[in-house]
Amino acid sequence: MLNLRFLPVYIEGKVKKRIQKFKKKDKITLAFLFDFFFTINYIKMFKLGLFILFSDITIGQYFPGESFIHRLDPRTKLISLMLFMTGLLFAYHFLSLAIYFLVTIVMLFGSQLPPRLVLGNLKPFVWLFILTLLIHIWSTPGTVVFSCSALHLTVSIEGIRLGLIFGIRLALLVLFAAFLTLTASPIEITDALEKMLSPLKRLGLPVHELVMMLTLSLRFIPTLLEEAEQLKNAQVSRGARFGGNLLQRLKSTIPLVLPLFISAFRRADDLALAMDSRCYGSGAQRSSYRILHYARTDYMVLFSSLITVIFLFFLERSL
Amino acid sequence: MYLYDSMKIKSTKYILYASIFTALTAAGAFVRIPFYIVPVTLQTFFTILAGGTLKPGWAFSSQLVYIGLGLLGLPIFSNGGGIQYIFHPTFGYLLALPIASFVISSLSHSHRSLSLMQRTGIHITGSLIILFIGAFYLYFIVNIISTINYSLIKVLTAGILVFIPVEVFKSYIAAWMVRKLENYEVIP
Repeated sequence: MLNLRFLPVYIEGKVKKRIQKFKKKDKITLAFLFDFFFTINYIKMFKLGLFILFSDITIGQYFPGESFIHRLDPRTKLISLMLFMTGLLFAYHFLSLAIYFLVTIVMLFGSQLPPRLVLGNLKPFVWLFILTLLIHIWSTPGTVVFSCSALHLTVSIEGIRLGLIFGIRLALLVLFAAFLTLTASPIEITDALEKMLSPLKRLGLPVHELVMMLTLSLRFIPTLLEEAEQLKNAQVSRGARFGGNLLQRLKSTIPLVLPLFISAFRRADDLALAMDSRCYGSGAQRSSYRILHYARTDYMVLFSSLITVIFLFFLERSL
Repeated sequence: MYLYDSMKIKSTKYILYASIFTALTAAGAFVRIPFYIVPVTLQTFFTILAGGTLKPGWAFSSQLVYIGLGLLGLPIFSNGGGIQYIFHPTFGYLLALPIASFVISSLSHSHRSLSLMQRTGIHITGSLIILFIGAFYLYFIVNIISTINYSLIKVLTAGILVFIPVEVFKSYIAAWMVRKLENYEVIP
């Protein structure tokens, strides 16, 4: 039995081992987070004081690589993701679901991601799958396979079929979406979004400002977390207590949040002054460091995914 | 032209303030206080504060950007992140954040001076908006994506009533904090 008193030390050891393991394999340290079998969440790390990892939050789920899918234009990935997701919402048969499954296998090979990393994205949805399966199995009338009158429980073939179909459909939806965030970094997707939404500027939507806010807050998140930790230590050294019942805990956030606010606003003022003195937002057309461009493979991917989705849509209607 | 330029320069400051609230909301999701069934996070607390301090448009966009960041793949939601999160049953609570902060902001900027209780009332209205939209999304996901027939009332009671006491307390503390921030003249 594990002594509870040593649990933090135990977890910390596990984390360190895992970091070393991934470093050996030349992978980013964040990757262990998505381990399907053993996940340590950020909150635990917050308690453990593993703050090196917080600077990695800005990478998100991105798994760097040099594969075919990694090299595609982020716009292509976004558009084909949307195509596949709308296609999947119309899929009601095992045959079309199987073809979509084949597509995910192809994407897995094309992206050269470790399969466990991709499957790890299903973890937050596990109970939803189970709920879907169980309720369909229990509630659909049809040919009875098994029944228990004491529990008002009848299991039918149709029920199992429906439950499986909807469960698989949900899993495929999640996996398709996961591929985008695993193969494109947040900044890449931001660039793609700015390009794709730029026609909306004419309607008066502040696209550029929103994208600027995205990148700025990417920069602010690790800084603020670090600062919160520093403030917490400072307040503890002045005799503040962070414990007790719920009411006391909520109240104890005040001496933490108020100084955090004041210093954050001061930081924002400084940065605004620095940006203004460099003539940010003077109305001229802005250029960017990364220039996106479509290659021939992008057109090929877009075309083939469109064809696949249309084919599957008509297959679905003929079944 | 000069007027346009000066407006732009002013907006740099607001862009930064709004992105600070985005970052704070993201950080607030990590501060989790374990409560009997439902863990309390400071996420909605910062949403309420954004509504109480920023102007409506900026409050709205700060929360919109928060959702955007999470969807881009940063693990800043309570169960991770990424585009697949839109199928998560609790995504509705996140979708409601911009709307709630917009409503709070426009209500609290409609009067010159508000008492503490008035502010708390406005904040509670905002949190109720979050809870209602979240529960409706929960209903939508449960019924349409996984096609389970649940009655709307059941989902609403499960998704709203549990959260109300904590939300009321959070709203009160947020109101108190907005007044403090106004006294210190931190807010533009």
